[in-house]
Amino acid sequence: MKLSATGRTAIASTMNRSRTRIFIPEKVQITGLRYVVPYHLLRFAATSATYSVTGAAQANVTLRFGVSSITIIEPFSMALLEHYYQLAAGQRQATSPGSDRQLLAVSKQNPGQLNPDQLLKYFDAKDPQKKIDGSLIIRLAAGKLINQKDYKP
Amino acid sequence: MANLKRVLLSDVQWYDVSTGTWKDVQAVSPSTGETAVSLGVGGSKAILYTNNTPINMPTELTQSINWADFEIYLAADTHYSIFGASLGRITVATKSPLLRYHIETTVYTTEDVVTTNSTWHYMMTKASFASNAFTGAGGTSAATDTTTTTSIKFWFPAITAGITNATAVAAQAALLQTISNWKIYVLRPDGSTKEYTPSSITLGSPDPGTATDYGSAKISVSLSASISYPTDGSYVITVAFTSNDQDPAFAIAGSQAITANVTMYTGSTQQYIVSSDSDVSVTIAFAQA
Repeated sequence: MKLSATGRTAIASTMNRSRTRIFIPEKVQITGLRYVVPYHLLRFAATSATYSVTGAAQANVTLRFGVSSITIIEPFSMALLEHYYQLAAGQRQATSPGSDRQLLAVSKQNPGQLNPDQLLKYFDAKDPQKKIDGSLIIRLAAGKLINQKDYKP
Repeated sequence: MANLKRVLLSDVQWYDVSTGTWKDVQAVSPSTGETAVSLGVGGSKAILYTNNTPINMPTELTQSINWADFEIYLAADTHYSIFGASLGRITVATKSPLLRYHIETTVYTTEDVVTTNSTWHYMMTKASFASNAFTGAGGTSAATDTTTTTSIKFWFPAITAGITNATAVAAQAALLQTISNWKIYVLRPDGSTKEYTPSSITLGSPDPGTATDYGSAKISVSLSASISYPTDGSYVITVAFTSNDQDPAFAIAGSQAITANVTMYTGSTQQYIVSSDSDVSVTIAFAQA
């Protein structure tokens, strides 16, 4: 799988001081301007009733499918990514189970000062940028993330 | 565009009441008969849905699995059962076998993408009861009015937070407290049957003690309904439960007997009435029968 237009198949990463591997989005330069190539990461998850009872050996299981999409343009760890997936899935389930209601969280403040829960407050379905379907845009302060311990939900 | 290719149940375990532990589920195909396939952590996976031609990602999909005859992903045979007397399977006599599993989804985009939902999902199969689940539960046994608010009480197989978790126990409560899931049938002395829906439901706390006939635990369920007793005599109440697995309702074992000794009245008028026109006034006298 190619990760970007440059055709690379691996995400650059480094270990931070807490021995947590940090993945670093790619930067490209086009006509003299530098851009960060966003990673659009999708995760599909099925869920069913947490608890079901059947009177026989046969059971019908109703599956509901959810798609969590995260666009990330700053360095991230796998634990952090997992945390945002959980937040995205939980938010969608709480609002409209089974639907593809979109999440769009755009930090208008200094994102480095926000924790993940605060970032979710930027959810706005009417935002004109909703074309970025299903995206939970997370902007994190790179230096802060790299130099601090991983966020533990 | 993503397409759904496969849904598997992975890390399937069952709760062994005798040891108080979760154990990996073992499955055996009748055609091989000698070798058990583990469905537990790191083992094989039961097929809930598979399609060589991936379908558009649905919002919802209902699939059936028969734990006495199901398929295992990448296994040689197509008929496996987790019930049996040997090879670590769940014995047929096990009351209300409780399973838990993860759901693994395979989606095809440009390649297969496999995602496992790490939340435990719990399933109680073959819900078991004592021969009469109503015995000793404390429901109404006598009615003295033609319409009596009646408590129908019985025990239901249950899970506890200690065995599962608080989320599953809350889901259990929600399932059992859904009024539309219950039907009450009243067999009257004249042989007719009348159907009722409870007006309210009260649950006890899941009790892991003395639940031998129910599995790992049992819970007291009390259905309240306004039931009509038009005549004296014996009424037999039975209950059916429609679960969330979309199968037809199943009956709660046993019944609750109610003896009605209701106050009846007879009406009488003058035995002979004369009127000069077509308009007649009749005085009715009521007397307790």
